[in-house]
Amino acid sequence: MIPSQALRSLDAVASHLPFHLNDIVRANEAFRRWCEDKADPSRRIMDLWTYCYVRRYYLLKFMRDPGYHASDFDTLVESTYQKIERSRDRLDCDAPFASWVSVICKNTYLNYVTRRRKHLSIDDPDRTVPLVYHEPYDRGMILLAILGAIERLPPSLQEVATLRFVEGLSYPEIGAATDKELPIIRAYVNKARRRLQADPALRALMEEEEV
Amino acid sequence: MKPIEERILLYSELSPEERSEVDAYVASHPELSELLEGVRAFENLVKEAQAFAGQPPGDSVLAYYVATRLLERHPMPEGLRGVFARLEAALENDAALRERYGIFERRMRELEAASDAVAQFERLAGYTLEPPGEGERPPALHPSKPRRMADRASRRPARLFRTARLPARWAMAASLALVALYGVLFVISEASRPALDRSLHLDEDAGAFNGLHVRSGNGGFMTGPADSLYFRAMDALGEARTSTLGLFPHYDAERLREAAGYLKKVVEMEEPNTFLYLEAQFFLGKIYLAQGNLPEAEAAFEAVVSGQGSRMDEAREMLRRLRASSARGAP
Repeated sequence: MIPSQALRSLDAVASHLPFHLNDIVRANEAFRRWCEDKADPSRRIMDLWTYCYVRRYYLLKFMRDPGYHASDFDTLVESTYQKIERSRDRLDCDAPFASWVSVICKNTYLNYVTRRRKHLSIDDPDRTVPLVYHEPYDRGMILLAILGAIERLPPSLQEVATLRFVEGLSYPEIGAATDKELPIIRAYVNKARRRLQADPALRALMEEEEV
Repeated sequence: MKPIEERILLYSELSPEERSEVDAYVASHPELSELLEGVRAFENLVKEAQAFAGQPPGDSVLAYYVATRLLERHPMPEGLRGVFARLEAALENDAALRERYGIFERRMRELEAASDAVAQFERLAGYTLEPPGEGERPPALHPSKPRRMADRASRRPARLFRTARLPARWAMAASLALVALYGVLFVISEASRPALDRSLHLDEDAGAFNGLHVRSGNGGFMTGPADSLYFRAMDALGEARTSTLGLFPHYDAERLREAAGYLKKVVEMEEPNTFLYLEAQFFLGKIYLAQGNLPEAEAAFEAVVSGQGSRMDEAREMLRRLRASSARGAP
C-alpha cells in the first residue's frame, strides 16, 4: 500500500507522546500521575493524549462520510477538548480516564449528529437530507478495554473469556477449541461475565453520563 | 445472590421466552432495572468489540486502520495487531475493500489538510511543541515565547566562538567555512536543475514506499502479479537518483526506463481507475517528466486527476507546474 501523508498533521502532535495513542493503560497512568502530582510534565502528556484521541475520534467519523461538514471538524475537536479539560478535575485519580474521554466524545458526537440531522442537498438546495449517522462508540477502544479487563481475570478464565466475548464463539466451538466439557465452559463464561461486568474500565464505557 | 439476579446476569444467554419473563419481572420490580440495564450495556459493548474484530471487516475497522497506521513511533497494543493483520489479509484479496480504503484515506487527507493539528493543540493547551525527543523522554513543551527562544538560539554560536580557545576557534572557523562552501555548491546545484526536475522527488516517493513495504511485513497486502511489477518499479526508482554528497543530482536513464517498463505493464494489467492503476500512472507521469516527455507526463497526471487517485492533489500540482513551464517555453 502506498504510504499516506494524511496523518502528517495529527502525527506531528502524537509523535510527542511517550506511548502509542491506543495504549489506554498508559493513558490512564498519565492521568493518575497528573491527578496526584499536578505537575507540568504530567499535565503535558495528558493534554497530548487527550487532544490526539479526540482528534482521531472525529477523523474516524468524518472520513467515512462526505456529508459531514469539514468546517465542523475543528469546532468539534475544540469543544470536546475544552469540555474534557473543564471536567477532568472532578474525576477520582483512579478513574479510567481513557474510557471517560471516550464517553465524552461519544456524547458530543451524538449531540452534533442530532443538531445537524439535516443539511442542504447539493442537487437541490431547497431539499434537506438526513445526516448519515455512524456508530458513536470508539470500537477500537472498546475492544482494547475488554481485552484489558480479560487480562485482569484469573488466568483460568482468560482463554474462555477471549473466545466468547472477543471472538464471539459459541459454546460448542469453545469446547472444540479448549477441549473442555460444555458445563465447565458455561460455568467459566458465567464467572468471567460477572467479573467483566463489574470491571471499572468497562463500567466507565457503559456510563451514559459524562461526570 | 437471588435466583432472579442470577438470571438477569445471564440475560444474553436466555431464550427469547425466558428474556420476556425476566423483562416482565423487572417491569414490576423497578429496583432490578439498574442491574438489567448494566447487563444489557455490557452486551452492547461486547457486540461493538465483535463488530470491530469480526470478519468480514467493516467500515469502522477500516477507518481505524487508516487513521492509526502512521502512528507507529511506539509499539501498537497487541490487541490491535491481530485485528489489523486480519484486515491486511482481507485487503490483499478484496479489490472493493482496497477501493474503500483509498476513499477513506483521501477524505482523511482532505480533512487534515484543512486543519493544522499542531496550531490547534498549542492554542488549546497554551504552550508550544518542540521537535519530539527520543524514546520515553517526556515531551519538551514550554510556554509560548518562540521569538525570544529563536533570538537566544541565534546568539548561541557567536557566544561559543568568542569563549573558545585558539585551536578550537580555528577548527570552528574551518567547519563554518566548509558548511558555507557546501551551501554555495548546493545553491548552484539546485539552480542548475530545471524547475520541473526539482519537483520530481522520485527517489523520496519510492523510498517512502519501500519503507512501508518493509514495515507491513510479508509483502503487505500487495502480492498479485501487477503488485509485484509495481514493487520492482519502486525499487528501480529508488535506485535511479545519484548524486555526490547530495549535490548535482541526476537520474539514471536506464533505471528510469526499467521502472517505466514495469509501470506500463501495471497500467495494462489493471482496470482503469483502480487504485494500483492510478498509482502507476502517477509515477509514470513523474518518469516522463524526468525524461523530458511532457505530453506523456501531462496525459499520465491527467489520468490520476480524472480517476481521483489518492495522489490527485500532487498530480494536479504537477500539471500546474508543467503547464506553467510550458507557457514559459522551457521544461
